[in-house]
Amino acid sequence: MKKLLIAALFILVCLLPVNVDANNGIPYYTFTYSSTQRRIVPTQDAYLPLSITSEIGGYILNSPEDITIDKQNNIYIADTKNGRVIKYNIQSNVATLIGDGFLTSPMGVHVGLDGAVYVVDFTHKKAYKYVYDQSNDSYDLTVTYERPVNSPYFAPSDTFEPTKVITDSGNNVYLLLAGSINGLAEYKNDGEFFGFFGANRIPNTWDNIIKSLLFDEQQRREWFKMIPKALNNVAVDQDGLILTITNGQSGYLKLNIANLVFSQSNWGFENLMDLYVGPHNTIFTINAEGYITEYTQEGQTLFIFAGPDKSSNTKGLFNSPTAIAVDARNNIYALDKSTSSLQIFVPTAFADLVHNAITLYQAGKYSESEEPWKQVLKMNSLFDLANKGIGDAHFAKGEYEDAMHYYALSRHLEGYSNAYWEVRNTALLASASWLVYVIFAMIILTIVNRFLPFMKYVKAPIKKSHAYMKRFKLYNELLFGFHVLRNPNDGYYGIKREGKTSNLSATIYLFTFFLMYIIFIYTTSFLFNDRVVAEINMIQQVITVFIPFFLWVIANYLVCSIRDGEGKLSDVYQSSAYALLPMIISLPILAFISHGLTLNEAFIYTFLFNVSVMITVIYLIVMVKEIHFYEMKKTIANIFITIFTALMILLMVSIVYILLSEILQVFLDIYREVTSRA
Amino acid sequence: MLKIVKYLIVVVTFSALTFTVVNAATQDNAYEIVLSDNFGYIEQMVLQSSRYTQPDNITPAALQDYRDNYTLSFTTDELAFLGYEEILNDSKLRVYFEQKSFSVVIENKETGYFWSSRAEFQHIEGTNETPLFRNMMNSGLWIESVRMLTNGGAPININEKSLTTESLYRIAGVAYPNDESLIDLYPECPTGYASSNVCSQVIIPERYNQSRVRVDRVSTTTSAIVTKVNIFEYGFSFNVELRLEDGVFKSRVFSDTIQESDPKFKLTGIYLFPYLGSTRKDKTPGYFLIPDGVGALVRINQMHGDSFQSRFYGSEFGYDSYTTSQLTMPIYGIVHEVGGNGFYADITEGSEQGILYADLYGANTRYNYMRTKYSVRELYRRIINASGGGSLTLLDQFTQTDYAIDYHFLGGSDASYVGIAKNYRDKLRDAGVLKDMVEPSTNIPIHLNYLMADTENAFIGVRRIRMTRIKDVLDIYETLKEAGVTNQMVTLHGWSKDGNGVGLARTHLNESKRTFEKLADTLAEDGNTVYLYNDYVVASDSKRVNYINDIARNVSRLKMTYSNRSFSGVESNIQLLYPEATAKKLKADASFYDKLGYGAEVGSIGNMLFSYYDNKVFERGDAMNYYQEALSNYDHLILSSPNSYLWQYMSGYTDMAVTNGQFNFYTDLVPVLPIVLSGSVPMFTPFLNFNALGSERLLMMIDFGINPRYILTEENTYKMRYTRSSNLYTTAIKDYETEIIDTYHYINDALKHVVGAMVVEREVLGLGIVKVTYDNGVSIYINYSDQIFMNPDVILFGKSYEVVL
Repeated sequence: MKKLLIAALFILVCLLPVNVDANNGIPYYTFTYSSTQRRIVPTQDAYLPLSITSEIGGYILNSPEDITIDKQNNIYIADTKNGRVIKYNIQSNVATLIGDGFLTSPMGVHVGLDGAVYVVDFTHKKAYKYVYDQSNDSYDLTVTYERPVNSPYFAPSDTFEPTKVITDSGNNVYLLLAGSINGLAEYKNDGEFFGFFGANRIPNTWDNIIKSLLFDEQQRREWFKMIPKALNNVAVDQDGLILTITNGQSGYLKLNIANLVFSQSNWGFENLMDLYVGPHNTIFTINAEGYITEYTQEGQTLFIFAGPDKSSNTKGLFNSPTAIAVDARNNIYALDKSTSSLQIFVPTAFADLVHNAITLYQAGKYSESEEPWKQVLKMNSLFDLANKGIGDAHFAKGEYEDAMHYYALSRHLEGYSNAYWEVRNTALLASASWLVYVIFAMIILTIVNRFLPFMKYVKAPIKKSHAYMKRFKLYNELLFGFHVLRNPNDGYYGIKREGKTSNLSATIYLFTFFLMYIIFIYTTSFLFNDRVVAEINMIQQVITVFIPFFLWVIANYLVCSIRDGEGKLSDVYQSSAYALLPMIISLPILAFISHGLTLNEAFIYTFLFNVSVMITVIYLIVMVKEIHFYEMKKTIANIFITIFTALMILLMVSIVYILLSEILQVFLDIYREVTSRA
Repeated sequence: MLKIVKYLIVVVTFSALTFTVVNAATQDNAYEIVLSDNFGYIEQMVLQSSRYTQPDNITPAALQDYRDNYTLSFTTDELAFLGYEEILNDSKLRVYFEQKSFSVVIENKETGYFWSSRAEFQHIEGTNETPLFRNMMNSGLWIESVRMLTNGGAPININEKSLTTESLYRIAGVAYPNDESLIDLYPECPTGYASSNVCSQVIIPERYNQSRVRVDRVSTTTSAIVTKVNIFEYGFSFNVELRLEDGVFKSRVFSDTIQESDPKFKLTGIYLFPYLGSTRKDKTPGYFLIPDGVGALVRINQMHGDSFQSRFYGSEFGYDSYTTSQLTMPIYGIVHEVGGNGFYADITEGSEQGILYADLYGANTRYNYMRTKYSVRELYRRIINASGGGSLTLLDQFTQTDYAIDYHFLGGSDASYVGIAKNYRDKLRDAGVLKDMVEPSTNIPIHLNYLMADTENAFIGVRRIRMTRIKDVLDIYETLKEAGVTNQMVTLHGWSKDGNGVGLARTHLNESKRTFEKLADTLAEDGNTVYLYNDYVVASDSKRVNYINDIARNVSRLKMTYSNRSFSGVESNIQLLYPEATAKKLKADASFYDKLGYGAEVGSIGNMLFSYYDNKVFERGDAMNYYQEALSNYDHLILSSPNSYLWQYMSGYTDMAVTNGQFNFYTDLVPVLPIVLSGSVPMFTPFLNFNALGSERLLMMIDFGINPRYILTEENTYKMRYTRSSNLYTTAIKDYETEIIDTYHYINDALKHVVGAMVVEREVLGLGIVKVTYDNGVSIYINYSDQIFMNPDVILFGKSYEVVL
């Protein structure tokens, strides 16, 4: 579904007139993922499409599947259907063939830190190591990596279909096996198999946990297809860490040597074809439609660009991309299988600036990175990473308030919280003496009050107006809520038998609750508030508050009236509304204190929130018990039945709605067909 | 002596101190950003790419081969032998016409060059194309049709493949004699067709079936002939006029003569002279000119194996037919030899129904040829249920507009894209579409846009986010004026209470009318105009748009609304307005702008043109008329990349395309559009805020004669990050003030010498080196490369320009 949305978004963005036109004469838009706005947003163009070519140094490509680049910026292309690997130097326009005549369908190619070229041949079901022989300027086959025999890891029935190869910093060789759920087959450089690495795990969803408790592994595999997904491609970064992508999982995973997920992308496509780690340790991926995404080392999305070619042979767009690689200057080389061509993209000044800032930033030179970040920010004021980078720079310099400002802009919770902690700390220390004075003054006033009771004069007007207001029925009804709060049993009896409340007062309670809820979602500090205030949909909020409430009231009344409950509909309505009082009190308090808290004290906030929710729930239970005069066991049973009934009502209403709209649609269709054929 | 030494010591100490302090201070503050350059060979590749105009590098051998073997020549006898008769003749052209195949041979008398509407040199090497192919190649008229019924009369389901293209020869069932029979039949061709271009084109006379197709002469005068084309096989007939006027060859298909007498077939398109100017393989040294974006060349001295297809004037939303190319001018050009011979076709009528095609050698053909289709009617999807299901079908009605093409033949130095642009420019100036600039000022204009406000959702209704006030605009106006940026054109966005993102905003000013007037008055004192931005075609949940009456239906009768949902669930909707509603609202607002003393900048109207359904199907031409009529009420009008039919109304051209569609077969970027408009109307680039190319972009603006343009806000951009304007992600004045001044002076120093002047020549002197010459004698040299360039006139450092007065 998400993928569909992405596709729809891109198509629309491309077709419809938007404010920002293609500003640099490029047939695609460049986007980034904004954690502030929680969506893909446009940004400055980062890469220019340079060329499409299907001829490399005099050799015509045929369905190439993989590309890699060595430290000298030579390009290696697995020219799959021609059964060869082409090593090509753009500058000298010299191409060298590797394994020509021997390889039949090379699917993967990799250059190790040792300078050797590793090639996977899909039909041979083997991988080869080629070492450069200077004496006769050619590559010699030295080691073969093949299916392990006599290994406990391999049953004779298991398939062994290697497609890609990488090596780590210790020159161990990893083969990606198509369809294998065990991960990468790991070999020593001399060809000895010694295990697996990097397999996907079954995600810990509730669903899966329950299944694991109830069924054994074989049942899970056979009945629920609960098996980890096979890897789709791999890459290795400058530090020798291995990155994997999987079909159906968004983005990539970066694994540490202990085979645990070290970091992962904060956003990504689910149909990635290939990934590559660039010279600044930024990660490039390309998906099946041709969208290229660049991530920082930590996995923040930098740029999303390029895309599918719908019209013709357009530079910068793809038909069926297979592989991507990046040279030392961040020029991107990508292969397209169906057009058998190589596309080159070159970075713009903006991309260079971002890379420059990232490099400094990642080296921990926060203050040095401030200037390039500022330049980036000038070109895109909404670039999260730049705001965060500048925030970090301010933080490093001890300018916490400035840091807070930039962290808030990039919605970087942790940074904001830390900076705020510092700011609050300073403020607290500065006002500590005042705090002492105030407390001291209070104590003195209390003592004075003992001997010279002046407080009664302060309280008098309140008491007076209370006495005056008591004459009004509604005032008493509204105040009764606090009685219910103190003494629920008695209170609900009052509602049911003594008419202490009315529908009007209950409605006021309900609307007050809604108001407090709105205040809560609008004003809570963004550290504790997931919502983007400007994007709150009022109608949606009305629905989330009122629909469940009325469903509860109606369902509870219906259920209890046939299950010997005593309560009338108005009783249920009034007492349910009064039960919301704890929330009415706590929500604004929570919103208020959220501004004084940092993430370190998040427990205070969550504790208070949970307590108020729990009290409300308990009051509701007590309410059902008292209003309908049930005993405890029956109360609980009735509450469950009520919830079930509410769901049923919801289901029925939606079914009726769907049926009605279908009928309406039928008439509309008949009308449309009659008019269009007439 | 001692005194001098003392003095010296003091001086040295002081200067050392100053030096240290200054140095220390600068080192402390200025951290210099050093961006590594890309590899030299990549920079080279960029300059060689289709983002730049390439030098004309033709080897003498290739040129000689073209001149010797691939240049046409006919004697009168040969033409008569092929059935050509001379029909038109004036001082510049002589036109020969062969009626059966509807072919023309045109002789450019000035250069003696022959142009043929057939694919010539079929004999020259290898095996011939199949007769079916040759029948297409040798016919000057093709038709495209759809079969609706079987022979028995049952309806046929139509799909995209139902469109079939046939030529006169193919319908007539023409066949060609082989070598032996050729000798028997035509003693003039003793060694068979393989030896001669003329002999390769003869047909077996009795194989032309007159009962299937016949071309009749309706009238003949010295300046024009009219023929009636009868395609009995399909039941079609229509009249075509060929005319020669002032050295311009003109063709016209009359829409009111189109007749369909067989219910089995429906006509969808007519192609005239599809192979006119076609070239064989990679033998011709010239290029094709496609007016995509600023302009594109396809050099035809190489194999591309690709094809091009695009409607003029952009996507046709009414038929859900989209194109990525922006052909804003209804022309295309073919140059066989730069500085030798070329022509361009100008679709003077019915261009809104025209589709440009180019087929390039390698894609199922040995020829490069370019043509336009006169689209008589189009396939559309008839929707019969809510889920969008339906079937492809054809409208009964066909287009109301004639289709007229003027062919201008150019020789000598005019045979180039510059010559084509100049000729087209002269034509538009003669017709009064383009005029001389009124009092060109001594400095270039700069277009500054200010976003005043936009709205975001709030607890109740919307909250207005104020980004710029009028007094801020006045402040920055004065600041920039003091810095020498005198000629400022100002456009206000989001000036309405509706904010910026709604498309069509209501005319409710969000500051007092007096303040608005003050701004206009202040700028008027300096001769500058202020514009208000509004969009009368594309609305986005505008309160001024009535869903039932204003939002257009496409030909499938569906409301033209498009929605775009982002991940956070924020939905933005876009609606297209009926051209009639657009016109009505534009006319109603004219006095509003006028009374306020403002001009209008209207988005979208310039580059959107669509058919629509409003109780009947209206075609693009109808929309065009509405737009033209409405805009004629406006004196001060800025249009965003407008199509040529609106040029006569504009006083400013914004969003000039930066490049072209960047198809792989485009070899060069050429500023055809800027050359056409040069001297007539100030042109502005898209907002430079979003320039990721740095100085290259500025050099290109100087090269093409395009002025700078920015969008600005007083407040920080992040304040509007939750509004619909959030895609304008960098706007703060404080970030741009110095850049605007620097950029303005950088460009002004070059272009101020040519304000109001027309480009007369543009030469590429080397890789990345361009010389542009204007009609006032000024030349501007531009160096896009990093290398220094020297010639007797000028020394150019890397990435720089030089003006030679």
